[in-house]
Amino acid sequence: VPILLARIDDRLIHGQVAHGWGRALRPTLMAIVSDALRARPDDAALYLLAAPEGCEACVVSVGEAAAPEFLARAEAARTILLFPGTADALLLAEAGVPLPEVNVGGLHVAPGRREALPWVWLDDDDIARLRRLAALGSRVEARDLPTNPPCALEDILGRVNS
Amino acid sequence: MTRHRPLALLVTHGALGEELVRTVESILGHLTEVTTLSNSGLSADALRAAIEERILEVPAAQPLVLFTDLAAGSCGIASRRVDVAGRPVRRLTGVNLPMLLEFFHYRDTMPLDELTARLETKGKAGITVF
Repeated sequence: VPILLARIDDRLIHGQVAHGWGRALRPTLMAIVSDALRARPDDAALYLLAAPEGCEACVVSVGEAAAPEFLARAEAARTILLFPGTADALLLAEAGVPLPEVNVGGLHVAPGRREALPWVWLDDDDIARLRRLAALGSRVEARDLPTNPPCALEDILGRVNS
Repeated sequence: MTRHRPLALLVTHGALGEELVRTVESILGHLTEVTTLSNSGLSADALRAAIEERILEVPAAQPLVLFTDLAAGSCGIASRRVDVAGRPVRRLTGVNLPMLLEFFHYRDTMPLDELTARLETKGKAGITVF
């Protein structure tokens, strides 16, 4: 099964992902792709606790996520990839892993970021990375829940700049 | 035989029920077949009558799960006193978010009594001390 969802969300595994998307997509693997979290096993364990029943969860580095062993595991399961920010998602795509759909699900307020949606705030680096993902072939859209309408990349960027 | 989707009725103090539903919707998306009733301004008898009225508004064969907050509060007591008129009504106290998420996740697939047993288990499992 191809990757069901590649989601950028600084909350990683949380209610909307475990329940909202989980109910719609019935994942059997949630993989957090994050070099930073991979280096902090105690923090990683907290996020893994939030995985829904019947769904495995793991934290992998970008390098591990790009390796054939992981990709085989991900494709053998029903997989959701979660990224804490735009950087890890772009690194994985640049490592050659195709991400046909990139869902921006939550990037919250931080210094230097401007509001696109109440739950999507972007700085210049984020904008450049999302554009780069699109150039690499990803369809980038913001969507908090599967039952809500998506907001396409150009609309997101238009809102940031308006 | 047509299987009816259980309806949720949250009977709570103040605006708690409405806020719980709003919060669940922020996690799961828009919900249907869920309704709330506040005890605000209602005497014990009026609250009981209001719950009974809601029960009778539901088609007779449709199950209804009645969630209340405090078992020993006006909502919990009223929910114990209601005449369910032979309807398939199940009553739970101590409503919390884990319980409601389970309800909306499984209400279309799980038999009613299995579902309510699961809600009790998951509602309690959502409480941890660390």
